[in-house]
Amino acid sequence: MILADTFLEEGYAMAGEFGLSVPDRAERSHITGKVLSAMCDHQNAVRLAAACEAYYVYRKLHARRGEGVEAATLLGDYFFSAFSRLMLPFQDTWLLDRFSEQLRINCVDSVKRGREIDIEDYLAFVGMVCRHLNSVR
Amino acid sequence: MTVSGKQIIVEEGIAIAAVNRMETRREPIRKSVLKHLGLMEELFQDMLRGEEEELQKEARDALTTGGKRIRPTLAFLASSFGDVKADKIVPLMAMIELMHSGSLIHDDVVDHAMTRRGRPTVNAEKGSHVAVQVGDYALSRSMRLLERYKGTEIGEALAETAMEMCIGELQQLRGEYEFSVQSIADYLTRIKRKTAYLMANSCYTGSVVGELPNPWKAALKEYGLSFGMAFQLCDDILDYEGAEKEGKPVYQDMNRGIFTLPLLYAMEKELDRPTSTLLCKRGKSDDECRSIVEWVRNAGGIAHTKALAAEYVKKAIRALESLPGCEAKELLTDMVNQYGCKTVQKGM
Repeated sequence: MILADTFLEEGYAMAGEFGLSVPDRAERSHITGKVLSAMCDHQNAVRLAAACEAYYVYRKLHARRGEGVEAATLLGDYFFSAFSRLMLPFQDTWLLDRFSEQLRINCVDSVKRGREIDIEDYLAFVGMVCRHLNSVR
Repeated sequence: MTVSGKQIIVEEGIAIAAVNRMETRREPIRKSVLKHLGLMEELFQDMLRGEEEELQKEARDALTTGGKRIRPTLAFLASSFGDVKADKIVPLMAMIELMHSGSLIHDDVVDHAMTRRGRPTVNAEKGSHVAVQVGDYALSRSMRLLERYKGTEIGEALAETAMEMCIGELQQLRGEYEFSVQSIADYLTRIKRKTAYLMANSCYTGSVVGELPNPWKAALKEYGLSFGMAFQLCDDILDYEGAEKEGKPVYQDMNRGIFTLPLLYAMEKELDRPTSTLLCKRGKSDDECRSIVEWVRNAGGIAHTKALAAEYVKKAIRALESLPGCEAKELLTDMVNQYGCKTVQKGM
């Protein structure tokens, strides 16, 4: 789990510099733990864990309103680009489509319903992603 | 402008202006650029058709009003050195423009910008939260196009560019009003990240789609990087040169405590305490801004920035020398010349 965090060290350091709160290590470890336990022998399991963590942090930062929204917007974009990079080795159309759809839903929910990403729903989504990747190995 | 009988809303920006100037000289490439930009607009319309009306409308408005389309034009022209079909290059053009537009919508949140290209920003009309989500919505559409380039270097190049752009913007935000972190070297690194890399990689990814030889890819990337540097330097000059007619409000950077090259150069030459105090003041009056502009001009900051922009224009043109002569090369030369000359020659 700590390994997955190392991919995102720069982002967390910048969050500290700007005084932005991001999901803490315990919360993040639910996501990385889910991936690593589901895909323990997959060669890119750590990358996927970090990618899923990056996506979650990105959505949390973009849910922020009011003070600090400027830095949260840019840092959220940073975590999204980290997520994109981490996903590259998978070269999986289904995976891209699912995350693209997940992002569309998150944006619509946020604007129309004032509902932001939820850890339980997201863990279910991550579980589905892991099942898919295990099935296509 | 119309393509296939459909109305395409594209500002008379540098790409289109350069293309139109070529009308009598190089009709085939002019028609080809316009055709592909038209196909890109059609793809936007298809992609943004769906049920979520609000986000969709905002994203469509942001995408279809007034963009200069420089980056997709660069990608197309780079690919034109090879033999490329529309279905291969148009999704890349759209992906690059979506990435650029999404980042502009987010920049407007960061800058608290009320207008862009003479129109209210999403931020001004709907608030920062909706603006952030609209930018993200554009990204979600862009992601779907990436799958078409599986197995190429395009994903890596664009993801890296996106990260560099974020770091460049974050560096700028962190440096606001901070003398200590705003050196000329830092500034040049920052503009390379926030502007030049995307233009470089627009050319590069276009050359990947065109399956060009590696030395050509490198030359086109170098061209885009130098063009991007010139582009940002010229844009920063506009903050000092009363450019509201260009659609960019004046004194914006100065009022946000963003020190760009004209000012940084002047600071290195002759910074006294009263000027330093004024520079750090928040909420400067127009008179105070004008006095800073005068000080910067007298210290040679604007002339120096124009000279550097002109150097990058020359460097961009030199980068093209190793490429074979063709209409795409002529148009790339026209684009950087036109943009560079427009700003650099003004007032010199």
